[in-house]
Amino acid sequence: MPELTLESLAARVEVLEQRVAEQTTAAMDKPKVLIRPGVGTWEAAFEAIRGIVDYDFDAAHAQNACDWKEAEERNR
Amino acid sequence: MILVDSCVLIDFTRSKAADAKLSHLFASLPVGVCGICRSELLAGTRSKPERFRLEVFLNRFDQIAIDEPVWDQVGDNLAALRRAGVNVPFPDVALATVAIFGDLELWTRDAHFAQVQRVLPALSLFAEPP
Repeated sequence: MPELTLESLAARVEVLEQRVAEQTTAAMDKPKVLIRPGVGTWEAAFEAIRGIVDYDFDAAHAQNACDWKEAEERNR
Repeated sequence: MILVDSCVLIDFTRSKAADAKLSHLFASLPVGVCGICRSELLAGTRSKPERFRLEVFLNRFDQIAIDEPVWDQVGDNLAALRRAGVNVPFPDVALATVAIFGDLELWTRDAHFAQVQRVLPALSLFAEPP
């Protein structure tokens, strides 16, 4: 067992502080939500969209109009 | 990470993937979607083959989970917006909350999100390049 001195204790505290700082940074960098990476290639994804011929573009507008109406009624 | 709103995805679908700017941005940025965006895009499906095509497209984006505590925060944000007199559809408040909760930038083309941001300043909006 090495002899405990003020210097050796200060050195250990410094190491521990560094570890805490590293772990805190790692925790802050970690996303706060679960994110699952996308699958496939962008070329395949774009090709899939190129093949769409019968999408109902009015669906989003209709739903949107309904959502706005609901928002106005909610805040009345 | 950038959370992409369905309005951007629908515009891209309307362009039949010919929008070179969006193709480039999707392929070069850390972009993700959540369940709200997925359901809003899938709402326009008319056939199973086209639904499959939309799934292939959506699945290429990173998938952002909506954690349980987000929903209480959606309620808090709805209350804050109401107090401020800002009327916004529920899905948009939920989307903004997912972005705030996950520390994500929100990529939208809907102008009313700027109003939401004034009440919820923690909301970070992605500045789409011209």
